[in-house]
This record gives sequence, C-alpha cells and structure tokens, in this order.
Amino acid sequence: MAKTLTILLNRGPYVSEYADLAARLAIKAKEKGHNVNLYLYVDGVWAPHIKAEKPHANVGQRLREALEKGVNVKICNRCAEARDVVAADVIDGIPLVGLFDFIDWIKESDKVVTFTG
Amino acid sequence: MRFLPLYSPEADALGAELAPALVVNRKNLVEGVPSVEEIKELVENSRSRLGVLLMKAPGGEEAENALTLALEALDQGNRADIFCLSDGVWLTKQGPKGPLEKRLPQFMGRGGKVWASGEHLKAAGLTKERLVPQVEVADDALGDLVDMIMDQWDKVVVL
Repeated sequence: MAKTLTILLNRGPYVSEYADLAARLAIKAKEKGHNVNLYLYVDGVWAPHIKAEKPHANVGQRLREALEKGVNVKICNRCAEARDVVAADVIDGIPLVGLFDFIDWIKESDKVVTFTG
Repeated sequence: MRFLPLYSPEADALGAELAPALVVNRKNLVEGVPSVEEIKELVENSRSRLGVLLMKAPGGEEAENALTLALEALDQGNRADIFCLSDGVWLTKQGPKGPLEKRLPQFMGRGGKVWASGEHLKAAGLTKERLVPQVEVADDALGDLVDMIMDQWDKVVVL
C-alpha cells in the first residue's frame, strides 16, 4: 500500500555518503510506489547546487532523477539565504520554501527519516 | 496487553451486551475469544519494532549508541533491528571491535536482527565469510530499507 515518506537531509555532498543515500532512498521509495518528500535543510541545500557532470558520485544527477520520478523536493529558504544560495544556483524544479512546508510534510507522512549525522 | 471487562455498568445501563475482546498495546483488537496461538501471535506482533540505521564505522560513538539503543529496546520488551549502510557495515565484521565485539552477538542472540548492505560490503572488500555469523546480507539494501521503514519498523533512528 502506498504510504508517504519524508526524508530530511541536513548534510552536504562529498563530506559523507548521506546526501547520496538520502537521494537514492527517495528514488527507491518512489519506485516502490510510495509518495516521497525530500527536504533539503541546513548544509543539505548544497546538494542541488551540484549541476555539472562529475566523474564521481553526483548527487545533483540523483536529485534530477528523483524529480523526474515524481519525488517532491524542497529547499529551506533561510538555510539557502545564509549560504548565499539563490534559486538560480540550484537545479530547476526545486523551490526554496519556508520551514512550515516541512512541518506540513511531517504531518502528512507515515514515516520521517532524517539524514543529519 | 489487557482484556476488556465483560461487564460494564455503562453498557448495562444502555442494555448493550459486551463481547469479549483482546486489546494489545492498543494495536490489535480481536472480537470473540482468541486461541492461545492467536494470543501469542498478537502479542508478538504488537511489540513495537525499532529500526536503527547505522552509517558510521565502529570507533565513533554512533556504532556504540546503535547497539546500546537496540539492546535497551529489547530490554524494554520491544523488537529491534540494526541496518548497516555505508561505513556502518564495518560493525558486522568479525574481529576486534573493543566492547562492541561481545554486544553484537549478544544482541542477535536475544532476537535482534542485523543487516549489512551488500553493495557497501563489496565496496569495503568484506565477504560474507568475514562477517559475524547470523548477520544478513541485504543485496538490494535500499529496497529492503524502504520496506523496513514503511512497513516493518514503528520508529527509525538514523545514526
């Protein structure tokens, strides 16, 4: 049965595997028929900043794949502002929104998993 | 677990008849009288199940906290699992790991389950023979993880 999963990513790419695993978990859950939300918080806002091709792990590519598959992705606007990340810096299709959007996602979710370590 | 009373003054006042029912952790309600086997199954299934997702290697506090938390969950009558992804798979390797070395088999001996992600074991050069016995290898780790998160675990802690 389709359920709703919300994933919170708190870490940027290339520090640990968290950003890649959060994006891959989102894709996998979507493929299994669940509704999936991915909220990019604190240093997580750097993940959609990766736009070019890379010869190694590319979380930006994974985020584009997640978007294509119908995962809902949002960026915390204050976390972005604090890092001088603006809408034009990030992958198209990911809105910068307030924290209340995350709260709404939590309320409508069956499960919430945080990648924050 | 508790059995609902078969007599209630409120129901009596309403002229209603009460049927026997079994309530376990407010989760399962069985109308009628369940068999002993059914009761055992209900009690087993009603225990809360904690999922601990470990992504850090032993040496830091994460792996130790994962085992402490999972063992404590068992102590309190719950079920618990540890799912190792990324560098977390090092926890499942046989060999010296300080105090954790004894606690991992102890956890599994008491009914806790431990999975290690196949792709991360491969990346770490760890083969099944080098793992602590009874650790299960998840070949489709993320797929299995989605199923555990969405359908099996009541709560998930990520370390």
